[in-house]
Amino acid sequence: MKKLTRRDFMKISAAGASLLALSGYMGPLVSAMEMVLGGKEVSRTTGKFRKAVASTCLNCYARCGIFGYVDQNRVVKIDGNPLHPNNRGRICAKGQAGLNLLYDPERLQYPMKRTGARGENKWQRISWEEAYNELSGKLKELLQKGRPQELVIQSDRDITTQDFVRRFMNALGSPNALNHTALGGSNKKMAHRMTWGVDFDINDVAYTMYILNFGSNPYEAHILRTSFAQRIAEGRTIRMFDHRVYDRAKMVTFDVRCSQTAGRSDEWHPIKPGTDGIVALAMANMIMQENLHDARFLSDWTNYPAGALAGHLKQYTTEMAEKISGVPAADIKRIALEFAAAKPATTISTGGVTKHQNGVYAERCIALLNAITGNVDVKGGYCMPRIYDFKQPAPVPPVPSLKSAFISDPAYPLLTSEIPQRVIPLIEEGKEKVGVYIIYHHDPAYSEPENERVQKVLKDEKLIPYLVVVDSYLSETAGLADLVLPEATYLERYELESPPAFEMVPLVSLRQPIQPPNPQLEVVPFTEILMELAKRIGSPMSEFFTFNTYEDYMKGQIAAIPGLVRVGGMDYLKANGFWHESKKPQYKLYEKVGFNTPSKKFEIYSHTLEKMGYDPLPSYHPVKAHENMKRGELHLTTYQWNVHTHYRTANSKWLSEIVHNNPAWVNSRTAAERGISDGDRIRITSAAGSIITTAWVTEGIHPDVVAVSDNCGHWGYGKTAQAQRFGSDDPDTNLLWWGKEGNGAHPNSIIPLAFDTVGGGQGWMDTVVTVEKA
Amino acid sequence: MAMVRKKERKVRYGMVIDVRRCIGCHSCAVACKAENDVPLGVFRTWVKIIQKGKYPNVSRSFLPSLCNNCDNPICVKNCPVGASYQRDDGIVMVDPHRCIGCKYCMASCPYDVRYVDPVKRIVQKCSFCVHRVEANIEPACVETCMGRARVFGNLLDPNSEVSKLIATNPVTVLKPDMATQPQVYYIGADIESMNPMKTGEVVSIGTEGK
Repeated sequence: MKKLTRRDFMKISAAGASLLALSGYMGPLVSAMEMVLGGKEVSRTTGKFRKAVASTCLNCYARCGIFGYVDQNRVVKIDGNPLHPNNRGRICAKGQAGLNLLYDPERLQYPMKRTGARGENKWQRISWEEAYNELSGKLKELLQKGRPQELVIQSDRDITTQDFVRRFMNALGSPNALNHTALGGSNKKMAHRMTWGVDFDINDVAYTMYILNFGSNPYEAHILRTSFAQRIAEGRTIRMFDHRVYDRAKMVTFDVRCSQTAGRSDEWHPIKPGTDGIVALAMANMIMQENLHDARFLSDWTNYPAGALAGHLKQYTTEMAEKISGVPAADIKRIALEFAAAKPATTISTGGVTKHQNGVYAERCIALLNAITGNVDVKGGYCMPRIYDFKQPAPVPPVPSLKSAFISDPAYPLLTSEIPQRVIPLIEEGKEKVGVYIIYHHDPAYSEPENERVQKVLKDEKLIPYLVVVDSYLSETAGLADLVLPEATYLERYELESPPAFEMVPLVSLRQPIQPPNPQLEVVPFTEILMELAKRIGSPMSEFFTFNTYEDYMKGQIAAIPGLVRVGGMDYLKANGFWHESKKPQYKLYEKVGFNTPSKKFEIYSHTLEKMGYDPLPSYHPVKAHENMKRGELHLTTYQWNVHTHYRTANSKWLSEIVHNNPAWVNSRTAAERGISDGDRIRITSAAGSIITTAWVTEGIHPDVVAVSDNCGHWGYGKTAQAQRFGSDDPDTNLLWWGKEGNGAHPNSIIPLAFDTVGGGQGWMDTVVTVEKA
Repeated sequence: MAMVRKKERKVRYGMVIDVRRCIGCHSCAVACKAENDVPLGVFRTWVKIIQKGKYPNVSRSFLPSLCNNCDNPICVKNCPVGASYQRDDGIVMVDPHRCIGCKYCMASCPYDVRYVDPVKRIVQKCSFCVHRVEANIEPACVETCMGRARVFGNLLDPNSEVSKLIATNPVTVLKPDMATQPQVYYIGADIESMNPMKTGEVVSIGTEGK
């Protein structure tokens, strides 16, 4: 195996020590690391070492390097790949519980066709031959009618499959290859594109001295969580040569809720929802006034003069910020000065900021803090993502010229991809006609806001004549489908990934079958379903799908990366699981080519925004829905648990054993005012409806906020997800013990559709509610 | 098994948990389930999570918990059939063929780390993944630990990571007054989280099935 890029920090950390021990380096620091930390697994009964297959996890989107261990043709354990530079041998509970998905007795096992009315849950088992014939027949019909755009495919956000879906759709002539990225991230993406020409920020927390956290909860949920959280945990307590533990990076968290991250921060500051932007601006103002800004970076690499910026920021006083956010002015000032003095430092920010209707602006205000302190793309600072863009192998199908209301929405002129929450309303309003709607590994009937309305549209055969769901489970959405196809899970299929690199050298990570799918299961990867459909539809479409297997397609992608080809291409990846150039991490990439913005600078002032009629400067724009709140009304906020991924891990027995329900967080003061005690049934009501759930009366939440997680309360999906015991080959399904506690409540039916006017992201955290005893 | 006298031992396994690096992710708990085929309803290791303080001065503490593989294992002494025993390297084991499921050991354990396996009907517990240790591999919980909070090794080797951590950091053990001499050492553990009678708001689920 290839040696790692060794970085100074790793040399002195325990993790580094173990990695070096593995690669044969036994310096004085690591001489005592007597055991192997990863990369090996032994049978409890026979004592024999097990076969290890290197792959890439996908039980969340962090895409960690894993080893699947195989014993007698069964995958018996999943662990981290110790040489993988991102997760460095560690994986989370979800990664460990991938086995539950693979061997779930409730997994979909064969294609099924609806026999009753839609949603009646009556099914007939059919063969793949029948399924392919029926579906390709429907697609051919669309082509004959000259309306290829009536095929809509909405897929999960694993990157390579999305590329492949796009190729399929381009070849067919439909512009409607959709995904659900914007459920969480379109505001973040827009803010960063408009500011410094990247899609998001990578925070180099392993080397930082100060972490200023706005609304992010990396200890529990983050798109790159395992790689990110471990570097925060280690960066905050570094083990030096004498093995004494030192505190290093300070972490300050602004959050409405005392999350796991907030509760372990050096300081937690409860903040009013949607007001992070003004706190960041007041801090920026403070830093400029105290002359602590990086004048050089501002003049050389931003497009707005320091003097003008100071003038713009002057209006945002700490007193004003205190009035709006509830964070004391003295704290804002102190933290601003600490942040400016710490070198290097970085902000981190995710859902708590970007899932508001003012998310784009708030995110721009936070990015600004990093620019004025000179922390942009420096070691330990606020960095650009380092990734590979995979190229489509030839022949590349042309991009269809047809316009689609899903994708180019006149209401959001800056958007280049669809807003998933708009898809169903656009169908409902008849703005876009759908013939065949294929949903891959996504559960809109459960996951989208106002999900009862979504269900109604999905049930309507006039609006959606043919609905196909490809998934591992009979999800709430699959329950409404005409055709349900069982997918091969991420442990049974090929894909190529390039997760953003935390060691700052871009990497390629391979997903390969740990074991081929059990022949008793008729499961097929979505990519292969698309290939078969293309073949059946025939020329000219099939000419873009001439490769024999999806693996061959990936080989075409790999061929465009010379360094990888040199070491052996696909064979190298199969043996090692990942690859990257062996070079040192490079910082300040912008010094070579500038930023990917019209001015090539970090755009504090965005002419692009200005041209579209938006505010060009980072400014505070209050959330409209919050301006006229009445006395007694509260903010509803959603959150994610550390052991679950959105809708899709609820049927994992080991994960649901740890978290299976989700009492609503209510501050003790708020509860007392309403006569609510811990464990009481409460009703939460918004303009869109109401839900009944249980109250958890706690000190760990802002008194104006009630919090309900967004991954419980399934009514479909599987019995485990619904906290029901049942008999099967797995004795555990009969030992499920949390039936009495129930499976919690799902808040999405009372979260109204609400979009950021610039980024189009759903305002998940903007719902105004009342809370009362039920 | 021929007992080596304690003085002559060369290997004594133990664990150090640097709680300041724990992020409460439960990966250890799930890795253990996978590694040791632990059924639903019981755990060999888990993370206790407490929240404490009054709004807005609130914080969270985590306490990863497992069998302490004590140097003076009272569970071994109290086993009427000799099923519970201690290896020369200090690991406390249960012989599945001898265990009669009487639960005397469970009653005597001050740490509540033993359970009756609902399928096999015998008492089980953490063995520091003895099968892995014998193959020179770290325990499953240590391998997957996200913040490298858990460190495992030979306490009698002064150059081992665990020995160095213990020698140069303030460490605590659970219930030292029980004279069991636990061999799981904690760095930076919150004293309130170590109190089995709990304080503050307990937010951990997951151990309710125990």
